[in-house]
Parts: sequence; structure tokens; C-alpha cells
Amino acid sequence: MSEIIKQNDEKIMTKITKDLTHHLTTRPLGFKLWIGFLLTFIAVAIWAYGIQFEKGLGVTGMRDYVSWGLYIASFVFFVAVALVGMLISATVGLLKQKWIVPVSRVAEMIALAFVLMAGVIIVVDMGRPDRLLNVFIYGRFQSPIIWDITVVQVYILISFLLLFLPMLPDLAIIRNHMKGDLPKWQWKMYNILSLGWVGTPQQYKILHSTVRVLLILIVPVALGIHTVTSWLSAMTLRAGWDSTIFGPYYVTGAFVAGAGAVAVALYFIRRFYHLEEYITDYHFDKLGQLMVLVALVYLYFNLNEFWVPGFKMKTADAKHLHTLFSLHGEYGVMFYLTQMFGLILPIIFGLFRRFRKPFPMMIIGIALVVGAWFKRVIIIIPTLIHAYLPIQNVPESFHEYDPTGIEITITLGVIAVAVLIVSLLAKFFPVLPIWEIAEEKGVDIERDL
Amino acid sequence: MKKSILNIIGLISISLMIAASAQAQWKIDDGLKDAKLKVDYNEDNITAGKAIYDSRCKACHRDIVTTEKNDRALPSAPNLGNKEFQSTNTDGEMFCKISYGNGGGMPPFEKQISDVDKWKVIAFLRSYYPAYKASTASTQAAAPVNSFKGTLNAIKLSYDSENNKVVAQLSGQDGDGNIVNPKGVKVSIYVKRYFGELPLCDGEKTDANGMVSIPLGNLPTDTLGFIIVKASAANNAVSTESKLKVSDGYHWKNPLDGRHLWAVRAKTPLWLLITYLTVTISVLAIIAWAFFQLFRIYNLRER
Ligand code: HEC
Repeated sequence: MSEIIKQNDEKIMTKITKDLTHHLTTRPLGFKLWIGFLLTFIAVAIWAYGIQFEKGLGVTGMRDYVSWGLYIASFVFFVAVALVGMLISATVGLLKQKWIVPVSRVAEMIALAFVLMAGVIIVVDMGRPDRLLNVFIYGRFQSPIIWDITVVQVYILISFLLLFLPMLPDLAIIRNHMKGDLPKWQWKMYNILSLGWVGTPQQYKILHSTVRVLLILIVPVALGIHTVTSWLSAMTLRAGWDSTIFGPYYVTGAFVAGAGAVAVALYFIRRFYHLEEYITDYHFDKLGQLMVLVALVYLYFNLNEFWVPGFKMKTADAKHLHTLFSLHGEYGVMFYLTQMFGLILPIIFGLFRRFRKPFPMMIIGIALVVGAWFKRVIIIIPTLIHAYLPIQNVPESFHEYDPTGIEITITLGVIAVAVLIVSLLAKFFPVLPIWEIAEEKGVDIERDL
Repeated sequence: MKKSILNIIGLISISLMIAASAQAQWKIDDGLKDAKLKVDYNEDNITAGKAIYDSRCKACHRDIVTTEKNDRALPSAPNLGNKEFQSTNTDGEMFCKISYGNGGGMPPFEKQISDVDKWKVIAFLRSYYPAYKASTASTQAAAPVNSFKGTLNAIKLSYDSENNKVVAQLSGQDGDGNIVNPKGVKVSIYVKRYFGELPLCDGEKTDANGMVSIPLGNLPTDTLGFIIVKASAANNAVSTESKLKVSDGYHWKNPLDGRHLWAVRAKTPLWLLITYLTVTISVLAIIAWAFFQLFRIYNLRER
């Protein structure tokens, strides 16, 4: 009897392993072109950054009024998307939602890549990056900037651990079974990274308990990272930022962006790696439900964020709201398009099961991510244009903000790096947790590795 | 050319504005129409009237100067020293104008200033109109302007710490050249401030010892306890400025002292520092523990 089970187990295991690791061995042309495309982009951005480094931030559109432009808006965007790691982990770790298992590693990959770029773009935003160390030498504990830097670094570490730890058994499987199929360097890499995993009960015990602790730890840390990011604005005395709900407003906004990013990534991974059997309509359906849920909460915070000051119309707030809500305001059109495509329509479509299928979900995901980026621009920049007290004797042009080509190139370049990191991680590592999926299917992995 | 047309249009619109505000009317009580000053027209009442004028009227009417016609453009408050106003208004009419205002630019002072004080203000206004004839009764009581006849030599300021008073001591010579303490000379004392000067007294007369002493109250000083006082007597015949030490120094709490959110890093509030360090260190400790678990896993590898 147990012989049969064992044979059966082995068969399932072999199939899963083969399906989930196949992409490690291939290098299709499409992938090479994609990476080449990203690298070209990044190269242009590095050239643009060279100019900025040499000439200073004067080559950007930022001036005395708008001193946080696309860079900081993108910083907030990166942090927001990175929060998906926590969203998914919390759903698994705290709510015990099993459906999310295949999604979790993709989420962690996105989280790690984006939070790394959040750190990078802060440095890009510095006119004198050589003075970065001063932040640590002279930073004040009273400053939200220090809290932010602390929590971003902590989040990078946890994201890395949450990506790496659950991958150990998979790496060992590849090491054990695929020596012949892989280039030498690649196998060696897995060999080293697998840390000599053999899958003893003891090792599994350590793995489970550590991951469990981290899954819990990442929840407050992730809330912390985005709350503190929101405080960077909310603790500055400005119309449009002067809000007590900025923390939850940012966090829920981040969940929406993150859910979108995961949907997009899952769609392409499923398509190109032919994983239809593992990432099914069911997963997209569940992901869609989660997306609608967080988007509704976000909508609720949007309502608060605009309706409450809009009812009182304090002078500066009124000016700020005018720039957003009037079609003649500087950001009116962008605001309505963003809210429509980045929030309202996704909610409406997401309510129907018909649209919670892979392809529509991918489209909705793109709308959410692009919308999230524009929303960060809308949160950061219009506020800066309307200071409580005007700065005296500045040129007329300082009252507006027009990002320069260099600035846009660099911003897109950093986004490209984030996408590149996700692409590489998803190419060179198993995107779905082999051992967890096997365990789902009833294979006794501890014995079977 | 264009400019002058604009000017004309401007003038017309201003006149229209004035015409619109001309609906505002002065109200004169019949019984008061021909009334004469109801306080004595003397130096004391004029001085008292000046003090009231300075505090209640000057903000709008500014300094009074004797002129033929009002030299200030409406709708701002007129120069009340102009002869046209002075000659066409009786004391009683002035009284009514001050009491009731005109429902326009001039506010009513009926309740804000007592009747006696209103008459004193009018006495002060009249002092700029040489042709003014007070009623015989009140002129008789008018006091001479300066009781001291002679030359003033100097004015000296000191601080009387026992009574917390600033003392101005005059010295001078009488008509025969004898050194005396001038009595009945008007003295003005001011404390210097960043903006404008704070009057301690304006036109206070010296006593028999040639002294004027004014209570100082609780004036803030500089950090070493000094204030700068200026004094002059008999319309600037003599004047002085001195730095007086009147306290042991003004002690203020420097908002940069102590632990605050806005202070430098070394002065981080303790609660914040402790919170930050506790949270950060505990989280880092857990992460370090997690990395150590990697090491433990590695130690359990196949050898
Ligand atoms: C808020 C500003 C303001 C204050 C304070 C003020 N006035 Fe006037 N006053 C005016 C204006 C303006 C007019 C001119 C009104 C008009 O002709 O329409 C005026 C007119 C007058 C007139 C009438 C002048 C005339 O030509 O008939 C008298 C008298 C007068 N003020 C006395 C006083 C006295 C005394 C005080 C202080 C107790 C005083 N005002 C305080 C604004 C002020």
C-alpha cells in the first residue's frame, strides 16, 4: 500500500518539479529581447543621470516651490508597490488563506525589487549624493526622514528573508535533480544558495518557525514603512497634506497598487512559463476579490481625504482642491483620469466574475499600477505649488512644475531597473514554491526530496 | 494723454464713492448747537485731551496741524486743525459729531468716552485754533502755560528702585541767574522700543524740587536689566537719553534649551529616543535571529 503511495508521490513530484523548473533551463529569444530592451532603457537613464550628477538638480524641473517632483512621487510609488509583500504575506500568515500560496513568491520578488528601488530613487533625488552619509552622521531622531530610512532598510532585509527562506527546499530540489540540465555556473549558484538543505525534519522545523515569525513581523514593519512615508508629507504644514488619515490612506492605496502589480506579473509568468495548471482562473478570481476589497477601502479613504476639507474649504485647501477638481485646474484632467481608471472602473469591473479572469485582470492590474503612479504625482506635486506663504522674488516659472526630459528618463530608468530585477528573479528562480505546492497535493516532501 | 484720462476716470469714481458715502449724516442736538466748552479751557484740560486724542483718535486723524483748509483727501479722516472746520463748528457741534459719529467713516464715541473727557478733547482741538475765544468763565481759570521763568540747564534721569519709579530731575537758573530746581515745567518721558517709543508721561509737570517721578510698572528689560529712557522738558529745551538698570535682567526660556522635537539630535526627547531605539533594536534583533536560523540550517547540511 505504502509502496503505491510512494510511487504515486514520486510521479507527482517529478511532474511538478519539471513544470516549475523548466524555465530555468531555457533562454528564449523573447526573454533576451525583453532584457535587452530594459538594459537599453537603463543605459540611457544612466547617461541622463550622468548629466544630472555633473550639473546638479537644476537640469530637472524642480525649483524652490516644487522641490519634490517625479522622483519623490516615484519613491512613494515604489514603497506602495513593495507593500504587496506584506499584503500577501499577511493574508497567508494571519488569515491562513491557502489559495495565495502560489502567489506569495511572486509578491516577495516584486516587493524586494521595488523597495530596493525606493532606496535608489531617494539617492537619485539628491543633488549631492556624495553627502548621503551625512544623513547617518547628522540625522536627527526627531525627523521622519530618519524613521523612513530605518524602516525602508528593515523592510529590505525582511523582504529578502521572506523571499529566500521559503526558497531553500526548492533550491535543494534543483541542486539534487537538475545538475545535468543546467549550465555549470547556474547549478553552482543553486548549490551555494541552497545552504546544504537536505530537508531533515529539524531543518523544516527551523524553516517553518522562522518564516512564521517573519510573516508576523512584516505586518507592523510594512504598516510602519508606508505610514512613515505618508508622514514625510503629512507632518509638513501644507494644504493637501495636512491630514490625519494620511497613514491608512497611503497603506490602502499601496494595497491597491500591489494587488495590481501581482496580477500583471502572474499573468505574464503564467503565459510565458506555461503554468496554466498551477496558476488557474481560481487564483485570479480570488486575487480579483482581494483587489476589489482593498480598492473599496481605498475609495473610502479617498472620500474622507477630499470631502472633509472640501466641505470646509479653508483658503489654501480650496486652492488645492481647485487644482484637482476643476477641469481648468492644473491637475484636473490628470486627477479625473487617475481616479476613474485607477480606482472606480477597476472596482466596477472587479465586481463581476467575468472580469476576474487572467486577461481582464492583467488589464485591470496595469490600470491600477499606472493609476497608482499618477496618483502619487497628484498627491505630491500640486500641494507643493500652493504654499501657505508665497516665496518672495522667485521667477514666475517657479510656480509651475514641468519635469524635464532628463528627469523623466531617469525616473523611467529606475522603474526599468525594478522591472529588470523582477524579470531576472522570476527567470533564474522558481516562481512558484515547488515544495509547498507538492505539499498541497499531498506529497510527503520531507521524505521525498 | 491716456494717463490723464485714466486719472480723470479715477477721480470721478472716487467722487462717486464719496457721494455714495455722503448719505452718512451728522446729527446735531438742538440743545447743544450753541453750547460752549463745559470744562475750563486751561493747560491741564488741554493736556488731558491730548492723551485721549492720542489713544482714541490719532489712529485715523493723525497729527493735528493748523491749516487753512483740510489738507487730507476724503474718505480718510480730516485734519481737525483746519481753520475751516474750526471756524464753522461750535464746541457743541463738535461734541455731537464726536458723540454720534456720522454713520460713515467717523465712529460714535457716545458711550466710549465720558462727556467730560469729550469736552477735554475739544479743548485740545481748540488749542490749535488761535482765534478761539473761550467763555469768560473758563478763560479766567486758564492756567499759564509755563510757570517757570528762567533758563533750563539740564535734565537728568535716574531710577528709584525703592518705589520702582523713573525720576527726571531738572536743573536751571531763574531770571536772576540763581541755580534753582525749576517747578511746573512740562516733562515727557519715553522708553525706547524696537518699534516706536512707549510714553511713560507726556507733559507731566515738575514738582517743587524740579522733579518728575513716574511709576515704571512691570516693563520687560534687556537680559542684563537695562532699559533706555528718553526725556525732554519744555518742548525739547533740554533733553537726555540714558540707559537705566531697573532689574536684574529679563530671564526668558530659550525654546532651544531642553529636549524638544525641534532641537538638535543630542536633545532628542527621551520618550522618542527610547521608543525609536527599542523598536529598531528589537526588530533588528529578530532579523538577526532569522539570519542566524539560516546559519543553523546550514549547519544541519549533509556532510
Ligand atoms: C475710524 C477712524 C476714526 C476715528 C478713530 C476717529 N475719527 Fe473722527 N472722523 C473720521 C472720518 C473718516 C471723518 C470724516 C467723516 C466724513 O466727513 O464723512 C471724521 C470726522 C470727524 C469730525 C468731523 C470733521 C468735520 O469736518 O466735520 C470730528 C470732529 C472728528 N472726526 C473727531 C474725532 C475725535 C475727537 C475722535 C476721537 C475721539 C475721532 N474723530 C476718532 C474717522 C475717525
